[in-house]
Amino acid sequence: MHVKAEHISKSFDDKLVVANFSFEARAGFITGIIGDSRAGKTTILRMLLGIVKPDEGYISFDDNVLSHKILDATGYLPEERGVYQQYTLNEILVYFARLKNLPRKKAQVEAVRLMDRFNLIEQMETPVQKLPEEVQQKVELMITLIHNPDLIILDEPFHNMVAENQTLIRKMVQRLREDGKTIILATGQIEEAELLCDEITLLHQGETLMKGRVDDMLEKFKHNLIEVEGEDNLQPLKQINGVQKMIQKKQVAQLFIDKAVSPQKVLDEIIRTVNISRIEIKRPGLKDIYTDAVQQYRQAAL
Amino acid sequence: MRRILIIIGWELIRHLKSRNFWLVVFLSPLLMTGVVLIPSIYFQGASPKQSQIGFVEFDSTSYFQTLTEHLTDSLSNSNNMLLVLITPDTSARMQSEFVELEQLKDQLDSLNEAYNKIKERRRYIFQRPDSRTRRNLLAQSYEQLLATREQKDLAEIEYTRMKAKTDSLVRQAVLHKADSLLTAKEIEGYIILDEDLFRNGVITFHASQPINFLRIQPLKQALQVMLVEQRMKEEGITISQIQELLKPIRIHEIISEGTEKREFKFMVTYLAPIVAVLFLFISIFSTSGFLFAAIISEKTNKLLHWFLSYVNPFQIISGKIVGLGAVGLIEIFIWLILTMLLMAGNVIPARDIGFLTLKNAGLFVLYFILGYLFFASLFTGVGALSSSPQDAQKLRLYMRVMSFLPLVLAIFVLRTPDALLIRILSYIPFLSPVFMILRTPLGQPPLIDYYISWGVLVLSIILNLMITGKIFRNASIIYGEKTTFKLVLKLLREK
Repeated sequence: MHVKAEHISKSFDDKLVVANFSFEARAGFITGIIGDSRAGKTTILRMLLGIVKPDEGYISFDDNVLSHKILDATGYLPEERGVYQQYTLNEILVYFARLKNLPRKKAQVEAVRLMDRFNLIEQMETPVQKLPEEVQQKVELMITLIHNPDLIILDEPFHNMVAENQTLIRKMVQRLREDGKTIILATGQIEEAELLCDEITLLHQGETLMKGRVDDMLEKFKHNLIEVEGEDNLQPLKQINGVQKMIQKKQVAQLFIDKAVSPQKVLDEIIRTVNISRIEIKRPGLKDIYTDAVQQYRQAAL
Repeated sequence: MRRILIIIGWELIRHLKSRNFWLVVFLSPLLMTGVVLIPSIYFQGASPKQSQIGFVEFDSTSYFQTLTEHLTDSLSNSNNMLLVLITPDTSARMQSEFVELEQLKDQLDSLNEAYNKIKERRRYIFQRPDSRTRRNLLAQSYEQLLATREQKDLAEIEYTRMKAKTDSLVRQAVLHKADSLLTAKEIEGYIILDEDLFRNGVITFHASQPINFLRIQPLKQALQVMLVEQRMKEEGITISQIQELLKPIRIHEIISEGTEKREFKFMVTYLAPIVAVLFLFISIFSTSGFLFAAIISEKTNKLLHWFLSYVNPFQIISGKIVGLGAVGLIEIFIWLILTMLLMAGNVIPARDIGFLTLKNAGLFVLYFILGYLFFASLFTGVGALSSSPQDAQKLRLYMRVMSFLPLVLAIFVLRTPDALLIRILSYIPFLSPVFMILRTPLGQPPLIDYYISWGVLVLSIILNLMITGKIFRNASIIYGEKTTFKLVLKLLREK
């Protein structure tokens, strides 16, 4: 399914939550909506699902507006999620499958198939509250996938998940991509997004900072990064020829080096300037790119 | 539509399977029976044992016997009062006094007899023709007569003295016994009856504590009847005339409903509507309470966001409200069937309860539906507002207070079912169902009152649903904010 959002905006109480957001998600790709808290990720997903109506802009699914048919082909894992505690695993799965318009028999077949895949057949008649935490989290994933959706929308899927389930989600998402599903992943865990996503949009306070293919983005910001750790005052490093920018966190400084300057030269200069305890040449990851972009946004705002 | 049906089915089956539902269905009639029966048991026989009233009688007037008969007559089966004749304990000393009195009495009797014999004999002699023998015999018998009379007079004096002495002893002993019975709580009180007091129409009643006047009332009546009877007897009226004159009055209370008139029986007439209202109350608040609990549980279990991505708020709300409404209707139909079974088995005196008609059953179902929809739509919105379990707890308390209000105010309906204030109050949607169902058998609410109450209820249900829908849709933007009035306004303003 091809999902397209064009220039959508939303305010609550006169506060702009999402500003002029556009993006595309295609079948066979994992599209990430990345940002820290209050970046507007959840609101965007809710607008996609029709829970919240955008004040401006347009959303389409295979060039159609949202309909029940589209919702029935969508699997959503909300950030705020839970399951009925008093009912059995089987009851819950069948109920949610039927709400996605699956006929009763098909719902039951799919529920059994899914429980079998998650090795939970033996627990099918157990009330959910008697299942351990990690199994309950699996139930949440099962609800999202029971109707074999074409579009999968995941809101902070790794949030609060035990390590075992985080691995499971990674594998699951990759397999769904192989199956040609459209996957939209909203998360603040940028390292996860870097590993999984094909295309991303970086958000901060509702504003789009940057967007594109993850590989292109990494390539674009491929300038060398030197990380220096030392006891001395690290500020003089800023003055070294070829250092475009320095970000200092306590006794660690990240130096962004001009692509035209040889790193070797800069390294020599660093060693001459301060006493160092550690030095490392790095390629900036998505997280560094995001942190940098946020900082630039803040400076621009000032 | 299919999705609404799925939600309806889910709510219906989940609740029919739940223990709470069956507890409400079967425990509430039991509870109600308890609520109704306990006060009536209390009023009909406060103490499990019959209350005993002592009866102290001086002079063998046999009033006790007469009074007991009157009391039994006037109170028939509901009589729970037992009269007991208090007799003195007889000590050895009193025993000997009695023996002595008896001897004196015997002596007096034999002297009387002897005296009368002598008089008889003298009359016989007197009738003979005059002779010497006759004169002698008369003189001789006169001597005897005088001597016997002297003896008789002396014995009489002796007897009267002794009688007075034993009488006061008996009186003392009886009163002592009565007081000790009273202290031991064997009797509730005692009545003293003697000739003089009885003649003056004054009867003293002794009790250890203030006694319920209603309870004494039958006794007073019986005494009154006995007194009048006694006086009439003295006036020379025959027993059959007395009986005719004292024929008791029976009061039949008749209620007229238009042209139809029927006998009024307080307990049945009042009890049936009260029970019906209690059932209405339980059905409305158990089902809307179930709904509230379901919403709160989905809210705390964070299911709401999931649902909103499946169905729109209207579908969720209508599915839930209709589903639980069906649960409530099943509850009511089970009760109606139970009532019909009890009527068929003559456990419920159906013919006496004019209230148990098909028309009223229809009204009951209608007011259930309207009342339920009103509270359900309200509770759904309120439930959707709660953002934390503490919040939910607080809201649940408000809801509970609100649901008891109509029941508490219902007392005023019992007193004046058709008063203007009650009429106005029954237009308020909160109170409408309970008030109208109570007014139907007790007063004669004009048709317009029904129409107004339906209209107001329908309008408030629509308004509630609109507000609830809005809250439900926008509740998703609440991030653990405290439920305040400001927040509600904010949610309502949001598009």
